[in-house]
Amino acid sequence: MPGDPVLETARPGAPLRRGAGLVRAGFPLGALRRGFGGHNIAAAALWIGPSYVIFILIMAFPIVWNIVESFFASSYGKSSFVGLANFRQIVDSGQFGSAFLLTLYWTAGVFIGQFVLGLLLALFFNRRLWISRFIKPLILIPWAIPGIVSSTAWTFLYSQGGLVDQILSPFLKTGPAWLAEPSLVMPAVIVAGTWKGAPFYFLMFLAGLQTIPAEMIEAAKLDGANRWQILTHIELPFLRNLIGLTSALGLIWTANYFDGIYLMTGGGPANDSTTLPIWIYNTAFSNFDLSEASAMSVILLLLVLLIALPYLVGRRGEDAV
Amino acid sequence: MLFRVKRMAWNVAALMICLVLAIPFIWTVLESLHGADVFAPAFSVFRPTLSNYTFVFFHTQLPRQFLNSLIACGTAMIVSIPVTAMAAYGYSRIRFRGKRLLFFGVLVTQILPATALVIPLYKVWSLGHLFNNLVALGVAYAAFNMALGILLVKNFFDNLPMSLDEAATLDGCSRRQVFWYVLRPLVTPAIAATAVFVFVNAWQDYLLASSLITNTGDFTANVGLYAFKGANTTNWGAILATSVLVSLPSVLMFTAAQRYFVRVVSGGVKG
Repeated sequence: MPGDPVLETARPGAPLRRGAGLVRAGFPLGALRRGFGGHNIAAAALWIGPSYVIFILIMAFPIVWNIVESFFASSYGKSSFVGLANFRQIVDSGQFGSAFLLTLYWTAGVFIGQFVLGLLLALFFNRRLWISRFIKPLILIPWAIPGIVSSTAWTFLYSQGGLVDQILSPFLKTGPAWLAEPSLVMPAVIVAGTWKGAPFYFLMFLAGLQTIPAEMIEAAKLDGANRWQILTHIELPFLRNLIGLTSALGLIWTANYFDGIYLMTGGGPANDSTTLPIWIYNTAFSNFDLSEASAMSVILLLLVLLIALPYLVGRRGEDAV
Repeated sequence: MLFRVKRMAWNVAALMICLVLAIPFIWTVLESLHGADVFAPAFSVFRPTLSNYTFVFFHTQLPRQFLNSLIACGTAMIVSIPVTAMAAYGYSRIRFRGKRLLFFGVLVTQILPATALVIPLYKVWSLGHLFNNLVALGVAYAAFNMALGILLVKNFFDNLPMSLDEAATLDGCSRRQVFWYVLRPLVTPAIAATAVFVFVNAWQDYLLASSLITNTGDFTANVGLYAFKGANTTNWGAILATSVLVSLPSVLMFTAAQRYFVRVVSGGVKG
């Protein structure tokens, strides 16, 4: 590093002189083991700085700027300080409660669906099958395709006379308008969302299951444990950490998953599928009320951090720097 | 004999499960080959035709929007790779005050949802006159995906013995030379995996592109597809063909790099 007598001796690109730095400075092996010792702030700035420049430009600065702006209201290019008025407007609008509940509904539905489907798939594929290698990509397709594609595919399946209607035709004479019926729209998008994200849980759980020692399962079988007991007494406890991590990430991603609803319904019919992220988007880009949208963004950010904090604090220990 | 039958049954069951799960996508592919009449009864005579694809290619803006997507996602890759590798090296090999805090910050960026950042970014974009700038969009994509890369590559660095650094330093290498000549070749797989995931994640985005790009000609493929779907609600053939084309890059790359995926996300799995 600049100024470091040990490390500055060889310039990048110059031929390596054997032991050059060592001879000149007396080599501090201990310091090296501890991470080079000495002028580390400069080194850290050089190596870690660039990533933080991007984080600050794209994330920290916009967030702080947005928090400041959420206390202002702007009309016709003039902005004036209004304190908490934007926030009060959101709470008073009556839509906050509905959007919040719909977000919970959506998150709970998709989370349970993905978790169960992912776990069942992982349990099924946790065995040696020669065919697995060839068909596993098929399972992963939903996760790999862009949200707009899965939304388009499902809109097509749900359309009048589409595949869903054809499959259900023995039971229903005329299929309902799946995405336009207030009581059906949420279940319909939850099914599509479950399909889109289940492969993530599948991959994580399968990786976890494969680390369980086979002897443990064998021993339990010899002791007469049935499949259910093996699952609840060995496999799930063994995967506790992985399940925690997967669920934490999955919950945050799901609650904020925009494409899965918006690109199918736009938040409608009326506002019957308007979750918080969609509400923000529509407020900003359909109603052009940026002040209110920025206050909503602040609220959403606080909610996410509140939910994610336990995960983040726990995670810090595991990744011990 | 019984054993063999049982084994066969498991394989068949596995195949059936996968096919059922893939129906929405397989259906999209099949119907896109149907020509204009996509609502023909499902199992009537099926004569595949590429007419939808030629239509999309010659009569829509998709080719250009595809290129736009490539520019934005390529930028995300090019920006994030060196930055990610350097930061990962820093967290793995340099000791300094405040490291835990900075690393915590990286973890926070991993959970920041784009939905909470759209409005803030929209404001900053209008402040800096960055709308319709595909390179700026690519930098934003990079920011949202760097945390995963830093975790993965740091993990690889952590698993390389310090004695490598020590030996090279004894031989007179500077830190930069240790990084470039000794460690970089050893973490190349992790860097390659990071590149793939940055690309795939960026390729999936709709939200940022739709709010930061306003000019139809600068739309990314995903935004273009949604706009096309809105404007041509009845032309399902073209909509589905576009969907298939838009999925191809991410499906191919994701399938190729799938085995790295778990390591990237869980971050803690030692490789």
